Amino acid sequence: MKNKIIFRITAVLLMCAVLQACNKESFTPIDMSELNPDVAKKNTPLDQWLQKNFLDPYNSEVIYRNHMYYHESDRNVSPPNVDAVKPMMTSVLEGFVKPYDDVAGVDFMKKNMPRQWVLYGSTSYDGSGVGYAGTASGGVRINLFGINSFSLSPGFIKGRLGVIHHEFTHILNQRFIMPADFQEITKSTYNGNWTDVATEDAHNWGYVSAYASQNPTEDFAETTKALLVSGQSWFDAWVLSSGSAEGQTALRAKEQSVVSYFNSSLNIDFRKLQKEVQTYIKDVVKDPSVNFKYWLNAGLYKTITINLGDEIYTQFPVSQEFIDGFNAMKQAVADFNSVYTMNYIEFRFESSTSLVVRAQFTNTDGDAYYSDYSFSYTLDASTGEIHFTKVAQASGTTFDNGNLFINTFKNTIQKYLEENTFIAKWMPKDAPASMYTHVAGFYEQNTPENKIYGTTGEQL
Amino acid sequence: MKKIIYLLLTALLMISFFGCEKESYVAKFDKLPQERMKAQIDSVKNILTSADNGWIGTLPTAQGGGYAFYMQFDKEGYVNMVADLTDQTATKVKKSEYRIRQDMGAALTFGTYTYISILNNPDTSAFHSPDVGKGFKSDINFIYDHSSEDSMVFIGKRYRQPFSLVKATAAQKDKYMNGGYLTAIDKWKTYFINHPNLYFDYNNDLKVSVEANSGNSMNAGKRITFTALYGKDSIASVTQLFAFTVDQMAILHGGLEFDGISFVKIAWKDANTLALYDNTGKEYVLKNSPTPLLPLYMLWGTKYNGMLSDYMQIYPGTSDKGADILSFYHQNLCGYLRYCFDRGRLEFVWDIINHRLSLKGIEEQTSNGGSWTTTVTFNYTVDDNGVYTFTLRDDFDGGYVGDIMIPLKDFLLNNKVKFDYYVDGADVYGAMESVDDPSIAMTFVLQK
Repeated sequence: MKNKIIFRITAVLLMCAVLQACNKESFTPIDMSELNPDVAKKNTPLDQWLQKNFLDPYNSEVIYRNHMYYHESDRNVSPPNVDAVKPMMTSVLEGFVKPYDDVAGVDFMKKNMPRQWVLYGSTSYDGSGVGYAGTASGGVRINLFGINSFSLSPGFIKGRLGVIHHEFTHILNQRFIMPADFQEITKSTYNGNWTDVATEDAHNWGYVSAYASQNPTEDFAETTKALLVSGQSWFDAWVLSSGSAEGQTALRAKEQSVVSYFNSSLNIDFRKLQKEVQTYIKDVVKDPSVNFKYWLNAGLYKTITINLGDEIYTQFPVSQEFIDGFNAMKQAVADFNSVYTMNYIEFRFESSTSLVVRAQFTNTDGDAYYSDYSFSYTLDASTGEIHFTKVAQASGTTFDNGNLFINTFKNTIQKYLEENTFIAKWMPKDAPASMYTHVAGFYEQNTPENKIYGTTGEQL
Repeated sequence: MKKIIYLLLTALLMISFFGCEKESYVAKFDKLPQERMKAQIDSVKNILTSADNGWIGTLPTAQGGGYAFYMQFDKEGYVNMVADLTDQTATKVKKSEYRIRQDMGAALTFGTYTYISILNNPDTSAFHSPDVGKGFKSDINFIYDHSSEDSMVFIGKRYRQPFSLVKATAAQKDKYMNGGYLTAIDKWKTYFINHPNLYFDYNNDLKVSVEANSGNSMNAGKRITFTALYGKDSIASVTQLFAFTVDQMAILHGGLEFDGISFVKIAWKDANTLALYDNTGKEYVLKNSPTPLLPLYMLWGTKYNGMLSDYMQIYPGTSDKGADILSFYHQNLCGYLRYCFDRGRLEFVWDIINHRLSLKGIEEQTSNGGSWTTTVTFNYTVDDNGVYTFTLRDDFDGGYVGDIMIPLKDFLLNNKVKFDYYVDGADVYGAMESVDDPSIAMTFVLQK
């Protein structure tokens, strides 16, 4: 019994000893957690502006103070000049955030805005010397490099906006799955080793860039970027200059898929978004390559067709003098023979100096006829100033037809065109987005409210 | 049962001895690591910001030369600085952000772009680095290393270069902040330009030349070189990075080691005299030689790239026979040849790597701006005494004046030749003389 008691006491003591032996209270806690975060914050006017415009409305943080752990450790990447931060982020607001806010709604951007923007003063170079203007990480962060060279120039701004819209498309694809049909369009030519792909090959296969040929995800982002930032005219020219019919078809199919994705999956009017981004690039960045005059001069647009019977002319009337001319020609055609009806007048740019103004009319069976009038024209691609001059009629049936109404034409349309100096432009800003790049015309230089415009065509 | 009890008691005893060892933990330091780290960060910040007159900093780069800064840190996390990178950085005070943070110890980070960032910038357009993506291999993050009463040293986090700071005086601060820095730098540069052959006497029997490259070329700029000639052709040459502070040319990396001595700075001994100082404070006055210390032939292709005989010029030290050879060219540019040239010159251009010398006759017609060049190229060998033997490599090519260069070409092919300096007052010429017939001597303008 005594032994049992001693045994029990000993056992209890042993248990206590074991429990107390590693008493954690005697361990010295080392806690660096308060020192580890390298929070470089101040409350400068710039910080307040960034908070007001990014953090507060969108929960999106802008980091511009040097933090070496935000970039690859094997690279030298310099921090930005403080003076460059606000101009850069103003461009982000105007060329990216605002178009989405206006078209998709503020709530959309509150949910989907990249959560971090990290800015650097220098370019970021990889080991092979390739420089990067921007990258994205994990669908939440966009890195913008080289902002010490900030300028409101097309080269600088479009490069950065391109990165942003490309990466943002990836972010959207993570929330709203990319359309399956897109992935099938050029399925056979995707190539992980895209750096080995020549741009010309990618172009012919139906990609907007060699990088797009890497995989469907990058292809989708690159196509979206091209449509938004490079613009519809650039895209149309890219399609037309693709060396294969398959490539052209593929590019159009991809364009349609992107537009459909935004319109249906995201409920965002893509054409409206495209116009908003392009308007910023045209009006603020002053990029000549998003203007009608640029592409008319480049030969992309070959026709402008004016049918005053279209509803749009009620909302956006053309010059009364032109209306009178149009109606006089219509009457002249009807007077010639009542079976004929003039339907539209078309400007046909046959070369960089040669223009044919065509009146199209049909008989009661619907057979089409043309009466053509030969002009020369000069276009100043920098100002958009365009002058029309009637020249001797070319030969051929359509020009013979034109001679039937030559007096009426001469006293109306020809007189209007020759007596005015015009400026080649897109439609006014308040025109529907669906008209952007699809409708353009000529504004009287001295009275810009007077204009003629019509549907653009890329084929004669 | 007893055995079990003994066993349990033994175990209890052992646990009591060893099991509670942690209770006997005694901290090596009186504060916890996080407390010590925070104290170090606070201390570094306090030291940096408590220097009323700011700091003079020097920083060698890993790929380029050395650079100096004046920095004043405030408690709000801003630093004002000037630097010796360019005239603008030496005069325009730049305000940027800094912070002290935890890294491998306390670390100093320059948060926004400033002059020290230029050396780090990987864009080739940023400064003078031809290497895309590298800059001058210099840091903007520095780990605190040590400090003394009036100095601090940080180490670059990536490139491991020492960033040394010394407290400035009120007088120094005034110069840095009010344009005196550029004045001081220009004075150094001008002195070196006007005294192209600086040297100091070493151990009474050796003259050591001192050359400072004040440019920003990544591979050659902001470097100081000592060169000594032992005997005929044994050369000792050492180079180290330097930076301009407001009152010294600081030689970095602990100084320039020469013959076991560390030379740490060049400073003004008086208004017109520069002196070199070693790390014990010993002074070595810099003197200027009328000619370079090294024989002329040793400097072809380095200090001097060639020689010039300008239009109608016969320079002092040219013998009559030499003048005949040169005059044959100059006097016959018009009248002797098929065409008339109203200007012309002769140039020698060295190609040291390939052991070639090109002689160029350049003829001009100023009325129409026409200029043509006739070139004849020689191979050469040179012996230990600096005597050259020339053989023809490519005969006259281009231009129209080969015929009037023939006497000079023949001289080079038919004579062993040596080169030396010819001093005429303040002017130094390059002299070319026949070893076979010393009465044939010609002098030329030395071209860099």
